[in-house]
Amino acid sequence: MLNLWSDRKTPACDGGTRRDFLKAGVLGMGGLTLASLMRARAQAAEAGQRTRNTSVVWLWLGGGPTHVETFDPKMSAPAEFRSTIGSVQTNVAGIEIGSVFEKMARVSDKMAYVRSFAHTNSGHGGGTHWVMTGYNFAAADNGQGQNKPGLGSILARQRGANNPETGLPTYVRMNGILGDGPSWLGSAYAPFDTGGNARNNMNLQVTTERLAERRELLRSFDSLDREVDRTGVMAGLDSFEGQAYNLLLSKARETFDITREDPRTLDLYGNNRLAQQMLMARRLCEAGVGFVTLNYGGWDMHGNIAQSMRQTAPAVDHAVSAFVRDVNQRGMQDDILLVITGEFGRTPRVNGGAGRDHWAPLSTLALSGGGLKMGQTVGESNARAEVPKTTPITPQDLMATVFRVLGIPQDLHYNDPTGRPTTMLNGGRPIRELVG
Amino acid sequence: MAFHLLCLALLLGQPGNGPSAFIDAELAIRWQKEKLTPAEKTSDQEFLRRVSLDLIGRIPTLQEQEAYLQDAAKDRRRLLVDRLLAQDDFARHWADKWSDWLLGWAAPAEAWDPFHGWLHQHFAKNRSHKELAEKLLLARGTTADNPAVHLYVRLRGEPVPEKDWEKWGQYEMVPFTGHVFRVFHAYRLQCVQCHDNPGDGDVRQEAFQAMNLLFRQVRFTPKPGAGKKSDIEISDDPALNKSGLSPYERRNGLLLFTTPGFYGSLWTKKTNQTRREFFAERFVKHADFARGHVSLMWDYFFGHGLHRTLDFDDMTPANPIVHPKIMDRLAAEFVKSGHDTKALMRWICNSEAYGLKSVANKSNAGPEQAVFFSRMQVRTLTRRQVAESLAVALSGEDYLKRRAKLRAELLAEFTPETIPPASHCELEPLNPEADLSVRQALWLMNGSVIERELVSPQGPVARAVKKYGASPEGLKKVIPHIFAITLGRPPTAREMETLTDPKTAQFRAGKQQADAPAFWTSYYEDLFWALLNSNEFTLNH
Repeated sequence: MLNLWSDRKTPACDGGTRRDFLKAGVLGMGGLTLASLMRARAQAAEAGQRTRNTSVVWLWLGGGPTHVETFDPKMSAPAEFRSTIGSVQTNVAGIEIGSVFEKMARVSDKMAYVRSFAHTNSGHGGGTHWVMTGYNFAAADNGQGQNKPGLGSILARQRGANNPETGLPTYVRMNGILGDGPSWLGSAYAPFDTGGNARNNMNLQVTTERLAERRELLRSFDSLDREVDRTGVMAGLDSFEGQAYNLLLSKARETFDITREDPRTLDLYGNNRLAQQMLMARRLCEAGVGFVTLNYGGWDMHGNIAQSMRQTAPAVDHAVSAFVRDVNQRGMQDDILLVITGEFGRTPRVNGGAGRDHWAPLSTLALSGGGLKMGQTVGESNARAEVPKTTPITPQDLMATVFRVLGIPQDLHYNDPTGRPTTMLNGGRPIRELVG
Repeated sequence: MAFHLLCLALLLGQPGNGPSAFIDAELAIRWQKEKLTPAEKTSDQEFLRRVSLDLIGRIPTLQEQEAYLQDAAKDRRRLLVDRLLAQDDFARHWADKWSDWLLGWAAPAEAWDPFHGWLHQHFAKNRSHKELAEKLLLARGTTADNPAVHLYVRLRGEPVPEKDWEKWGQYEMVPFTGHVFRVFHAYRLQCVQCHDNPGDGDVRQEAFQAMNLLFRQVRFTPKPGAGKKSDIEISDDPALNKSGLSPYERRNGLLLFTTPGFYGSLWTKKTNQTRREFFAERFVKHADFARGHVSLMWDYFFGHGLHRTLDFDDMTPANPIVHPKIMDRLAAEFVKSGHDTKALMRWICNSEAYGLKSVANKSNAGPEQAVFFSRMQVRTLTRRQVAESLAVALSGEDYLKRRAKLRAELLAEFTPETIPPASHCELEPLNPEADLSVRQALWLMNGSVIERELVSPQGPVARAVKKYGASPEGLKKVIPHIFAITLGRPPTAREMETLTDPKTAQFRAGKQQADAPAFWTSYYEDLFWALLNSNEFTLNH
């Protein structure tokens, strides 16, 4: 389809969800009616069961964050390899991270830094696809669209597009990332994007009763023959309509409004935009959102990496440390997992322009919470931070770890568009050091 | 007999061997080969809605519906296409499309608006597609005097430190180079800036770098503009990127250099043209210029490109053209017509294939049959198409008076999703295209502008009440009226029955005052709301 400019839908060399959308083979739940929504909530309440509420906040450092200057400064390596900005000692003996992460250093007992995360695709499209979906897809560098579902969409499929208890979407996106879409799982499992004016449109214009009546009316006639279309467009529309309806009936608006937060918490996060998004992510997770993606770009540091790091990293340092403190203060460290990663790491040897180029053989990964074992480094890189010295941890392993935290069965499978049952994971194992 | 048929065809302005007939003949051969039964022909109402959305970017008004249906001419579809092509709305819609395609919807208003105005003029005067490309590629002067300059400003990419201007030029110009190829040649050249496309013998990484150099002597000079705003002037400056060299890195780390050129023909200091002139001349003469436009237009009107995959701009050997003869013929005719975009649209819209229903039969339901065009694809509308159509539906007879403001208010309530570029080597990704999502549904279900209009004393509901009364008798007339306004068709017997049935949800809801005008008014509002929220309203089918 026509898609000259695109959002997640076809960023330049990436294909996109527009195609995902049209190719959508399997489309699940249409909208819930008010009655069935209420029924589901009532049943959940009666059974005394809280809907499973573990969540993942996925902070994407778009562009390929340097593994060296972030969490593996390798000060023992020769000058042209080691961190160009030096390192800082964390509050865990023996663990140093890049010098600009001073605040994170002070909460590192609540963090884990993986130093053997690796894959082999050093292209933005392909690398992103691999980390976001668990699968390499070389053609993603040549403009092909996502061909595997992203993690958030898998969860949306598994838990349902909306939390049955709160009506909030299972999967929320704050800034898109290539490869964060549902691919063939179907557009019903696409993330809810908070951009634009979506939040203003959550102010109910009519009473919920009136809205319910209108919707009944809409459903009482079939304005367009469903047979017209088997590409999924229509089913997708039905699902969006249902999801929008659920949102309108939910406390979504309040949840998205961070000014309702305790002033002390607001202070902790401060005015930093990224930090405020992370605060919103925490609020969403509390309200039953299962997966939040957040893209914070600017990491493609081909030249003068020291200067770029000093510009780009402090916002992350502040936001992540505030988030980690906040989550732990609330005792939610077992319920929310923070993942910090990007499409690949960067060349171990600093280049002629004082920058670093694409380097997938060692990539960047840090985690916090999720009930995982914190205050440690996982794996080890070789002497010049070029490749893992210990057994490489792959995007599949990260995926398996996320599955474990979210309570997704490791053998979860869905039928692909040809009807073949396809497991979501393929060989990944939860990271042993983290899951204990 | 054959002679008579030919005369008839000539009289109707559709000679049997014209491009429209050629399209149909070629497709018919494919359908036979692929054992596909074509869909039925659209009804007049369906056709009017489809072609209006496609050519003028909105649903037809009630007056336009009446005028068309009352036209007794045998070739009224053809006449309709001509009428739409001549409308100012045509120019407005295509200025919308091209502003979004070229600058992106998220471009700041101070760029998007004048650029849009400039394009509006272009389409209103039916200037050639070649002229469009040339005016953009060779744009000079300030943003205030020549809005075409905005394309360069918007897509100039990363700045080069001033000390290196002489060496590398002022800006990297990478997005510009990539994007003009994508839009005009239907080729994603930007992807080969870092690596060759597999299986692609023609365009290589070096070609991208060489073409990029043709824009490295563009100088951007800030000029004080009216008020506080600063204009930017564009000129050619031989002092920039003096050496004409550019280094680029192979993926294996090998560093190579290239000099300015266009697919192998080299620009040198002796060339009697600026680098941009050199580029523009070759760019519009290249076969891909006409083919690219055919590809773009075909995809736009049929919802699927002429090649195997969905995307129109993926002209690599890995994505073969499924209808090479149609591509060749339309491209040749397009060049012959003097790159007349309207002519190309006319050929497409007058083909029988374009007028087929979107309803699938057993032979052509699957997505893999889409590329044979034996039925129309269901297409999503862009937010601008939806907003303009909402303006038509909500403002009724006041459409001309109120459209501009309403459209702006509606669009302000709904902006598409964006994703930031992951790296320097990508265009800023924006999506002016349909933004089908939960967010669009929220906008239509619960946007404040729509609700305000529904309950406004000047709104469509109040008008219907005034005309037909708020009563059970009024309802029987209001339903067809609201269907016509929103969906451009009468209700089916079943719909009529459901909606007037006292058992319909609204009536069951325990309303005590079913005879009160207020009750009927609110029922009309709900009905209007339901139709605006139906899939039928937000799709082109």
